[in-house]
Amino acid sequence: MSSYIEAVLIGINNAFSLQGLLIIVAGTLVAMTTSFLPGVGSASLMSIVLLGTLAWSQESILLLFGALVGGATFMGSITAILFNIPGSPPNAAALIDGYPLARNGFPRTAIACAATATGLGSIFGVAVLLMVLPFLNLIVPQLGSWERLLLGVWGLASIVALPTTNTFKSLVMCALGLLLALVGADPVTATHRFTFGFDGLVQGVSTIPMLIGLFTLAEIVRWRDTKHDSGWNTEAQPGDSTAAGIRAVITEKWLALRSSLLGTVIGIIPGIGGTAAGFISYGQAQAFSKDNEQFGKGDIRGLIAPEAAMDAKDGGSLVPAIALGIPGSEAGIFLLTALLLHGIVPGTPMLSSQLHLTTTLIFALLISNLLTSVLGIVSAPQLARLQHLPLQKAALPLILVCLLLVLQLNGSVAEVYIAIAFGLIGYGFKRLQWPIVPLVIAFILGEFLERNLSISMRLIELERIAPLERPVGLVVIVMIIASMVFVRASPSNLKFENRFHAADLCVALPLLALSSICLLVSITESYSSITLAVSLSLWLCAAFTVIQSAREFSGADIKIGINGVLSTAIGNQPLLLLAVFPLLLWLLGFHVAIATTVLSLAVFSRAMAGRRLLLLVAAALLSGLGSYYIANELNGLVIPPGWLFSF
Amino acid sequence: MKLAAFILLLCGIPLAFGQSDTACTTAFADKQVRFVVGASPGGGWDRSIRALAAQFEQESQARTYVLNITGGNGYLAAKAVIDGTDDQLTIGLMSRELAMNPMGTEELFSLDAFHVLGVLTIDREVWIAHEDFQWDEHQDRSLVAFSVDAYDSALRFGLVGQLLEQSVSTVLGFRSNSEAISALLRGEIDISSTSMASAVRATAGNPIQPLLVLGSEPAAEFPDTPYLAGSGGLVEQLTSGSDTTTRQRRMQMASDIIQLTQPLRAVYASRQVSNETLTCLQAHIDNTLFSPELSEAMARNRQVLTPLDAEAASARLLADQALIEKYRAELTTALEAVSQ
Repeated sequence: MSSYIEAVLIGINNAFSLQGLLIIVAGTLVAMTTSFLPGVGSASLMSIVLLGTLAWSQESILLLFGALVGGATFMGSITAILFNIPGSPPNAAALIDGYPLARNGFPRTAIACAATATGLGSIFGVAVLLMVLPFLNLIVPQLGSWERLLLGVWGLASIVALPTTNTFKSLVMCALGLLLALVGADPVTATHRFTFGFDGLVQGVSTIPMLIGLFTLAEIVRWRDTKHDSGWNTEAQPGDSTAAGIRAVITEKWLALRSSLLGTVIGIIPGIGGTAAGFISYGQAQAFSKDNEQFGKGDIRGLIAPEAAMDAKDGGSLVPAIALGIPGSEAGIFLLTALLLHGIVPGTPMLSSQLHLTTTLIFALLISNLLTSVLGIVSAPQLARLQHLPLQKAALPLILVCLLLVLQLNGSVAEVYIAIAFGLIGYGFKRLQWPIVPLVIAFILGEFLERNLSISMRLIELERIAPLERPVGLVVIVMIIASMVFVRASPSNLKFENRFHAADLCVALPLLALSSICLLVSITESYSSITLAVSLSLWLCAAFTVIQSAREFSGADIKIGINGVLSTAIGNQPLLLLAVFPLLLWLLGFHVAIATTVLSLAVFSRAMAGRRLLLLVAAALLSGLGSYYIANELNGLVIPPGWLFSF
Repeated sequence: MKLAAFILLLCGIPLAFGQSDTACTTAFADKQVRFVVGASPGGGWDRSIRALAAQFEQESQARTYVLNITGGNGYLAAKAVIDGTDDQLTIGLMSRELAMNPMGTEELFSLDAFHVLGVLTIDREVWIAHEDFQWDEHQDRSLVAFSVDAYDSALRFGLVGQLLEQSVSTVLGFRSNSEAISALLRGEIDISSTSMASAVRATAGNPIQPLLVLGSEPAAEFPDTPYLAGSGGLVEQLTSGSDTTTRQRRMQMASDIIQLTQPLRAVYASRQVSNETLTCLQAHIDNTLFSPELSEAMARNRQVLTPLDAEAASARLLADQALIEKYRAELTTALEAVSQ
């Protein structure tokens, strides 16, 4: 216990030191600003920050990521309240009653209420985490490969069972994530799997380019599709005040506490994430309220519940991340990646020898959450002006910056191709409402699951473990079943319609082709039984989806589809850029491709207006040279020239 | 004239050396050097490479960072080292097994793919078990051991098991030594094999006992623990009733196995690195490996620095490679036995 208290004191000292506070405040402000921009979200921000902080110390990186996790959650709710656009998926529940409240002339009340509820939720979540922490070190060593396998399965099962997404699509995405995790060298035998002769795939699909593609590039491309509704009533009603918002939370304190508890518990369950926390607590608030007719029309209780739960889940979600290395949310995926990149090992070390790092992270999270609440109340009306930022103009430069960041990670052009490919795939998934988070969580958990399954099977074969005689394993099985029943049975008025559309064929058919190839290769190359099972699972899921989607298909869909694709592609410059850039990259090399892209886009968008061409050429040259300077000079990388310059 | 030439020579020698050092420092001042290890952060390998990288940064003025590339039992890390170039200078800390491809796996590498820059540590190997473990209770059944990979299984458990007339089955896939120790404590496996430094740490705070030192004399750290080879070793005791030829052969095999099982952490670079860069790199690595600061840093990690320069390291690795060839058939048979 003394070492625990010592670790808590070190954590407090790290977080409250001048440098610590500066990092937390800066991280919180950046997270608040970016998550305020509709669609950017915490995941996009973290993926970029991850690349820029490789040289930071362990303490600093934990302070920063604690601040980012804490800062991002709340501000996403402000966009949901003011514009009906959640800053990130977990904030979606806040718009159900938050937006009507703002439209009805109570924006200050709504924002103050949300800020107070999140402050309460975060204190609750962190307090629970600090109480649980000393006991985790006693529990974790008891978890053998069998129990770890079950916990990994729990993470996947929970995310598939979520009522807020199409269950079968989540299942397909999980299978796809697991298949992607199998690409590269087998963790036990080092056999190359699904590399198809490409050396670049031997190390597996690179995590960071994949995350940048799926979360950041796809989201930027989607900005074009987002309709910003800003036509709300700016005239404040009498009684709309900050104090009214704070008072509402105090009046509904039991609801806030109940939602905080629910959020913490949901956070602890591996894999579920903040989206579920928000919707499930909203559902319980509605179900347990006698007079619930106003829910969905601007009931303040419908705002308190998801806000308290979402921030409370931040503390809870650190439990599986710290103890086992299993991400508990979208932010947890990036947090874990950051931990590993900086030599911090989730599991026993973070609960013993590196406990002070864990407490540093917790206190950074707490300070950040409280700071966002205070700043949220004070500055929301001013921040609302960011609504008028010309987001679409920032999209193209942001894409190029992201690609440069990916390139400078390892100096690998192949990783740029990977990021672009996942950007395009991610955009397609988002357009067709295929959930991305199950794919990423399954991908992250893939190696963990495979290794523990392999060890468990061998230990069972050697009669060293009997799964039905292991009490901890049985408890986890009961928890899996109970949580799935709980999640599915939770009252929520936003249950997703589990049906397919003809457009889903666009995803299902390529998946069927991919899984067929993988299945065939698994059989002919005699890969492990696990590889075969995953390939077969994806094949079955894809085949089922094709059959279901085909039922909805009619001849007219082809014409509608082609028109839709053409209009989307022509009207969406970021999408065009992502589609064309790989060709330019191959042909011209990275830096010349950047310059060419800037020039062509500038000419395309400004030629009509008769702007000076010289200025555009200068901008293009500057971009190319800037890219060269950052990659080649600052980072000492040598980027191969394009095909055209290789003669 | 002769005096002038002598003075010039006297001045020239240090100048030449000084210039060389300065040139290397200048050449490396702008470089970013990547240190790659095929193990998770936090373990012994990770601590070793972080100490090495930090001292290298001091010596060379280059910017360094450590990359933990796990998976494929270190294969991916080795691949990253091989792919290193002058512009993406990559230094790997790897076991000899990874560089030598002792089981002749088609997809792995050979020693020819690397420049051997030196050796950081050479330790002894120790079998450890739960403190309740009794040899007598396992006479009639196979011991279950954690092992890193096929070669490790065959060498550390298969061949040693043969010498001790004890069958062993291995489980592959544990990610770190601490996971193996947790499995020992849970009773999922009977034994694990680890370096002396790790064994000392493991036995200090846990109900773990050292079972067998893979050495030819009693270990100072565990004086009461039996050892494998040499006079008074277990093999000598077990072969006391055998004929002289058999006894000598088994004693020699035990001695050879000890050499091969010694955990050896060598420093490698890619063959793609130019001679110019390699010369400077070698100079910086030599300075790093033989610096007292590194020795102190390793001691703080409870590790012992036992450096070898490039020449001695290469000679040692070639000798080990010859031994692997000598026992290739036995290794193959042993692998089949431990996989049962």
